[in-house]
Amino acid sequence: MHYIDLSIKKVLPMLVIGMVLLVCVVATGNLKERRYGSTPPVASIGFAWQELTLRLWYAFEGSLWKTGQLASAAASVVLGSEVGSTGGAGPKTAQAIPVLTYHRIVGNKSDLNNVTIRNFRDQMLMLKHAGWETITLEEYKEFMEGARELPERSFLITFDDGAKESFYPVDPLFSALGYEGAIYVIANAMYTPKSTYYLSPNELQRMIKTGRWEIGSHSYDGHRPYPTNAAGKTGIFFADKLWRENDGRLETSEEFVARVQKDLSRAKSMLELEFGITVDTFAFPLGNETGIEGAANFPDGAGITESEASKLYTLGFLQTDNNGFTFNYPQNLSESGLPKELPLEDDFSVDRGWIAAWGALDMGRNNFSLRANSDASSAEAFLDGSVLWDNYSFNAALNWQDGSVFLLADLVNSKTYDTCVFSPGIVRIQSTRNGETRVLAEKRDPRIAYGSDVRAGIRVHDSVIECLWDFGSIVETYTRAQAGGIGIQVWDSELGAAHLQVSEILVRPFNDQEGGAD
Amino acid sequence: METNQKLFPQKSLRDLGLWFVFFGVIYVILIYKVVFYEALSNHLFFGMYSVLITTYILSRFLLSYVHKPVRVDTGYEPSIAFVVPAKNEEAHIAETIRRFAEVEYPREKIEVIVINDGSTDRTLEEMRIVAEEIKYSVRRIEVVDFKTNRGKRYGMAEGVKRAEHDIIIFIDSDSFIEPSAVRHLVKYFADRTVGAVSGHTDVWNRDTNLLTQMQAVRYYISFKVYKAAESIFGTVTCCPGCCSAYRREYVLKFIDEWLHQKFFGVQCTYGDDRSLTNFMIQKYRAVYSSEASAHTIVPDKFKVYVRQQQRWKKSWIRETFIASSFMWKKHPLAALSFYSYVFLAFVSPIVFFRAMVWFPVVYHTWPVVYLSGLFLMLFLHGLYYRIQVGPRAWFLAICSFWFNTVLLMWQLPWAVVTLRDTRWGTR
Repeated sequence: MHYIDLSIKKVLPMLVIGMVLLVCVVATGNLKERRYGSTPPVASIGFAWQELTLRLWYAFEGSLWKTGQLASAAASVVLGSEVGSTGGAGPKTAQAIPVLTYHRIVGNKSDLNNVTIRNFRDQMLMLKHAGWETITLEEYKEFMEGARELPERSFLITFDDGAKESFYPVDPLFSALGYEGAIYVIANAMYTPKSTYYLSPNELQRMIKTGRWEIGSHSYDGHRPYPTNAAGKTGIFFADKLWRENDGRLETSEEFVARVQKDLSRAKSMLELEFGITVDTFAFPLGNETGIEGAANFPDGAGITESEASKLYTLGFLQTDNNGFTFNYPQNLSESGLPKELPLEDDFSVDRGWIAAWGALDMGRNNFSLRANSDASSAEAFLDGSVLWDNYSFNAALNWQDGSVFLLADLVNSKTYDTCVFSPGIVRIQSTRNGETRVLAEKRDPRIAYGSDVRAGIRVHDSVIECLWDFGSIVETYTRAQAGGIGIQVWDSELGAAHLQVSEILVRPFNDQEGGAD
Repeated sequence: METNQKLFPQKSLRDLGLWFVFFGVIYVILIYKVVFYEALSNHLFFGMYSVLITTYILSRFLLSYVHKPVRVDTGYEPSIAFVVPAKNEEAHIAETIRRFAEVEYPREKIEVIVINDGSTDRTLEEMRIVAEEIKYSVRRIEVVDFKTNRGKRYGMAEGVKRAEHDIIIFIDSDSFIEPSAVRHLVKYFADRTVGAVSGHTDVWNRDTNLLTQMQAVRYYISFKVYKAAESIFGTVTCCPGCCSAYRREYVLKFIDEWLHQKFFGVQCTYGDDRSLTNFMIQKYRAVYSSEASAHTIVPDKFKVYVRQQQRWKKSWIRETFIASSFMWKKHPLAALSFYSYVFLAFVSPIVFFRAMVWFPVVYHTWPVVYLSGLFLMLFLHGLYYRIQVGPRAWFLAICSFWFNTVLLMWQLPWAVVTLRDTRWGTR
């Protein structure tokens, strides 16, 4: 060791650099652990990279947009034109709150559950520019309880499953737009070691700290398919009786209840313990299949789950078939899906949100023309944003030349509504519930006939359903069960022949009408 | 012409930035190892390899950093003898010899012995012309003429035997010594335990093409970092023929044994310098003088380069085998370094095969981790070169180094297989 220089001058800088390097490496490890938990390191780098690039990109995009706004504002001042602000009559309060339910926001291949980053960005930007703002779960809860008023354009965003791809591609955008979301975590899944799919507790903790995220329960472990017989046929955790391998039998109803209870309470307590928060909301696993279509061997199962969940949680999100109502679709959220107010007069000069449930709807200038497709006997259209209505009369001016006309009221979806069916010389009141139709009343009247400008109507209030001809009541029933929006259907026995033209409709609140009927 | 490199980096802001990047790369390498160790730790053997190679390389940088240069003592002036064996080197031999007249050393203490090893070109004539030209600048110049080719080793031995002076300085017939180099070589011999001193050799034809640029980086690093690290313990394993000094007194003790060296019954005809150093370090020290600068011409054709490398690999295997028998007696750190390197060298083709062939074929995974890890390491070397030498085609050179490493990975296993084949295969 003759030729070695270990003087302080030589060794000290290297010692310092060595220490700095060591500290950096250890600090990097700590940072990774704190922010990414058990996520594999390479995946952590990937997500960090995605988050960083998106943050930079949205910041850049945001500044471009702001510059553009400033420039156009300046231009309009110079040119003396008005800055186009649409809000005329002052802030309105919301009558309904749409809940947008997402799963993952994926790179490039969207599917039934997952939206691409680009689409998600477009949806959020469009909402933001149209004046929509997100609300918190607390605000949503108070709104639903009637204890709080919210601005008209308020909505809630939820993400199911607690996946990493619900956070890393999303948070940069939320931070740029000032939005916030609620993530529904599968309590057991967040402990999946080295998961590249599920968010780990450390990541969720970080999300809470951003102030942009709230956490809800998405069950403890209710997502996988479980066997429902000895052969291994699988069923749904929250709706089916499961097979007990050890006993060689299906579980009893009591065992089903106990199992569901245990899962629900375990999810809640585990999340509360892990994050030191109150978990008060529940998103039912497997969306609508939980209760509506999945149950194979235990019809009461889904209902039991719903009632058990309601004992533990204040709010439960259960996805139902929206049957064409657009309020939960961001692309339409901006305008036509907004709750509409009564009275409503529509001469079809502008599109107020009529949507064809089936058949072809032509909404040309001052024209509402409904026609069945060539392979169908009927066509139906409904008015988006009318679902919250109650107690009203709905009259339509028709050019009615053949077939039957159905005026729909109390419409919840295309399988649940009340209707007046007009055929030449006869009118019937029908009630359709989940696709099953019952005739409630029937009346023959020679006044009901084809014509180029006839007036037909339906009036619903309290428990009464009435059919109107020329604004006069012809038949009524007292068995009305629910409220809802309006729609129009046309039917003809010949395929492809059904068609109808409507020149104007008028919907008035029931109370109004008694005073000033014309 | 490029003069001696600066021993210490300039204290400029740019260099500071580059050093920052250098340590940044080390940081990335450390993180990289931590990240991928988990994947490798399933397999103890490959996990160990991964940790060991990083430790080895980083420790070379660290050791070279604390390598202490020795001051020139003008009171110590042993007589020196330049020995140049040459075969068919008519293009460069004159310049090689002419430079001996310009070295900064007392004229009467210099002798020159050039050996023409049966050249078939004008090498001998060139030697004679230059000998006449410089005869007044040195005490004595002798031209030895082998009528038939006998091999470099015989030429070197002949030079040693004919020399009258204390210190033999071997210079290859295509290498050029700097005037200041002699004193920097000689100064180490004041220590009686030192038997050999390697000079620092850079590439003369660096800017010819990418291949020579790459070799320039390689030469620089292998001297400045790896030899310097070995030098700390006096166990430089190869004082290369292009520019190295040996103490004649010690060489004479084993010169015949060296001259007739056999390995598994086969006469050794290449790796003469490495072999000579190996004899020396069994009893004495071999060190590296980073200030003793010389330049050498390297192959500028890939085919020639590959053959040269193959020859070097073979001699490396042979001499490493021999050195393994006594290295354990040296300083523990020197021994540890040596045996680690032997392990790494033999395992690296296996790791290579595993990452580049086995995993892609069996598991359909791309060798991204392996190749990027390799690149990071070479990038670190390239940065060091860039900082010390200045802005050259260093990055491109590193890329080609990387490429060549991948391309020439088969060489070591192949060298093992063909160890007994003694043909030079080049020139």
